[in-house]
Amino acid sequence: MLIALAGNPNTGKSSLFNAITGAHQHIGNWPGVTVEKKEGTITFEGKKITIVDLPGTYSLTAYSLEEVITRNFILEEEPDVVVDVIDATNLERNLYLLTELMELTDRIVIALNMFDEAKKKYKLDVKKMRELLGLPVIPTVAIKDKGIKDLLHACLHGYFKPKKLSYPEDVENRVEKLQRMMENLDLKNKRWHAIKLLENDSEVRKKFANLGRKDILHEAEHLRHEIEDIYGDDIETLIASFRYSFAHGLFHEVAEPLNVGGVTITDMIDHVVAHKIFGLPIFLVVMYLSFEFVFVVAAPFQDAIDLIFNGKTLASGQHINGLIDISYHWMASFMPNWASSFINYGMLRGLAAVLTFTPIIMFLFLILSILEDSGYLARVAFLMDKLMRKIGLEGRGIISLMLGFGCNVPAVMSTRALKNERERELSIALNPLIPCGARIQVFAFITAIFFKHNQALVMWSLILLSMGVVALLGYVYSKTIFKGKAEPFVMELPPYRVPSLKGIFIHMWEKSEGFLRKAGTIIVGAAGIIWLLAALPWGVQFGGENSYIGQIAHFLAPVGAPFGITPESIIALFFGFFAKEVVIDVFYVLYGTKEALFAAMTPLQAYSLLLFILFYTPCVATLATIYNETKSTKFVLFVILEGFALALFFSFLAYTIGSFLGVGG
Amino acid sequence: MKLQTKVLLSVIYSSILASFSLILGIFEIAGSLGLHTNFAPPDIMGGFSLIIASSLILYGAKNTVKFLYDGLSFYLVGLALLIAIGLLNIIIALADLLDYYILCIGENCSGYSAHIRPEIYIFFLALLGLYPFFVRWHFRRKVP
Amino acid sequence: MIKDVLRGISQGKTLAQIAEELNMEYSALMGMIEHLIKMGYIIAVDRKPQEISACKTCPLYKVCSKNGPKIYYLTEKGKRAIK
Repeated sequence: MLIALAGNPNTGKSSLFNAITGAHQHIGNWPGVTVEKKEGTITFEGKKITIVDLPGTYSLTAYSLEEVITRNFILEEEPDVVVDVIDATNLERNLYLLTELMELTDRIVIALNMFDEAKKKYKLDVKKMRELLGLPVIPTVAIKDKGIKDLLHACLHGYFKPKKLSYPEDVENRVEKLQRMMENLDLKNKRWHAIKLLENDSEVRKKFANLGRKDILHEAEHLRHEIEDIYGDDIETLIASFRYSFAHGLFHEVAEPLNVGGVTITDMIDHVVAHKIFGLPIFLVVMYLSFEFVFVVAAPFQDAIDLIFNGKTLASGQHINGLIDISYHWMASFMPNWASSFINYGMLRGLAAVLTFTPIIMFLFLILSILEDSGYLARVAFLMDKLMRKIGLEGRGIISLMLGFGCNVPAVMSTRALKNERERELSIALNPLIPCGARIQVFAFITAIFFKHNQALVMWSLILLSMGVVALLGYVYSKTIFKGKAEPFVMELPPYRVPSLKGIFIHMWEKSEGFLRKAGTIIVGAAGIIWLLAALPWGVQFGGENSYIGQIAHFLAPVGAPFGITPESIIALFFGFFAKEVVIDVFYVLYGTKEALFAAMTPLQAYSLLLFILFYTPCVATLATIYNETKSTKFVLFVILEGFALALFFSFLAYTIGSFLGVGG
Repeated sequence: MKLQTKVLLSVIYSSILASFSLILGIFEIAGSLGLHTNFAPPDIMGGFSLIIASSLILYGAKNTVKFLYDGLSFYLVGLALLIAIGLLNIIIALADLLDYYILCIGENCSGYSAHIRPEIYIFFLALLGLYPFFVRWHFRRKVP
Repeated sequence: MIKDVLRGISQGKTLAQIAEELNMEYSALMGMIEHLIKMGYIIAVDRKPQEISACKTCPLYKVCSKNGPKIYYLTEKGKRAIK
């Protein structure tokens, strides 16, 4: 006796095979291909039974090797029984294969595997399923060896009276007509062949061509067109739809979902956060709460680190030495003062600056990791897509835009996935306007210093502004420069889960470590250069008007004046062109301490600077990538100009209005 | 007590709490626009957050009582946001306390005088409204 | 049913929404999606390995996220099917 095990992948088919055959297995390959074939022999109730494990498949089309092997085996070898191993926890999905198997053979035994798990999910009516299908249905739990004997017993003595899956009359007529034409051919299961011919199945067509029966092929072609005309649909869809409807109907007959009418917590949350009115406000609140959390929780840590390195000047004027002061005095005892100053107040203070800033970075990444691991960020992409559609953008490259919040480089690269050239250019043009992780760090840094009481609000306003500008420009561009139709798409949203603590910390550490390492190396270089600029030519006051840096600043001063941007900021912005996070380093080297930086600008000037950083030219790496992707210098220039135009516009606007109203001055 | 009655009581309780939060949120925004009140600290986005959270609760209340999952979803997400806002304010209070003493090192500081934001009370009060979450499998997509 | 799914996609619904409206199990819908890919109605866009390796040129490679959601587009055939 020959039994074949068929079923979807991951249904526990292999466990069932092992449970039945035990050690008596033979593993080889299917003839001519490298797909694994497992066979085993057992004796049950005195009968010798050979069991073949067929490859796992979802359907029996001609599209994949596994599916062709499976259906050919059942068709040609005619196993006495085919066991359809069904993952009962995903019943509906597994029933589609059953509909296809039922067309191939009548002798099917259904193994409802993982039955114990499935009972937690639905109320399953096995008896009704037996009656509706006219086939043995046996609950099994392969990994616990449960139901194996019943299954084998059913294979030997089962009652097979399957209900036929019948198509509408217009289709059935034609199936019969084709069947009649095959009458004198030596073919097993002519009905199946007829259906597959109508479905335009490439393998079966080949078979008939080899048999030299062009007439049947022509007739099938003709009949197919007739059906397609009647239904106005292509036949493959039509027939697959019938099968799906059958599976769907059967599922609802035999299974009654338990919790919340089959609604999971993920469904419930998505119902709200993707809501057309509440979705956006909820996102704004989540974003605000996240920033608030980052700044507030980081503050004590920052202050502690600052105290340890930089010490503190008391109200009485007495100075408590920090580690750097102590190190300076110690080094000055055996090396020239200028060298000790360079090492301690140039480089070490810069490194300390990075360290004091680390808590913000860590908490920022902590919260981002939580949002990402929990699955909420994917919903934000979906929400933005919906919003974009509303203004006529149809979610062009929204995923690549969302990636931009991490880093613009991979984001620009990901636009390759977009089919449509226009769409691609549009999302490349918009991408640099999304503040990347590095820019967000700079915002966090400046915000933490200048906006003690409204940090989260300031951050929030920047992100909101950038998204607004992207949406607005996207709309304008798609109506003017990058016209064209957008591709409809759907996203697979992962279910929400409580992120694992370990996962979050690994994530957070990986990201923070990247920042620290980079900032650490850059600061040594940048600090060196800037210290030199501030100290040269020999003999001037350090960082004074006559030093190189003072001269550069003096020269640049009129440039930034209308925007309230200080010359030092311009220097920082210049270095930021190479990598945005360097802006932080430059500020620390130029000003030395947070207090000095705070004294150098008004909050209004700082805000104007933030707006400038938000939009001005993307970093070198991003520009190089844009060039690589478009091979157009013009496009790169366009992106730079676009950035500067927006930066100048918004910081001028903010500074002018702010000065006029007298806010933050 | 019948399940229906328990859910009804829980929803009524949360709706009253949500109404208070809504008013508090409005006053917090008003406060930041210059209209100071004693009980609501001026906080524009904090107020906005409260308004959104409580609107979700009120929006979902009616269908929650009807045992529809559509209502329950809004009710629970709103409650979760309210609890998150409360939790955040507790963390803020703790962080402020820690920061105060760190900045005090080496100086003679007076003891820390805490001001407790109303959101912190809301955190504890909102936890009591979660009852429908624990009986969520009695809810249905449509009225049976 | 297949057309309902394709229509849902072109209207920008989530898979969860489509499954809910058709009263289907989510896993069953995903099975259908796989099938539709094979039939050429939709294509799945994954980030390919060579793109990921290109990402490494980014100075912030370690910082940025490497797993985005999977996206499915309607093909020309898919668009024709629902016209």
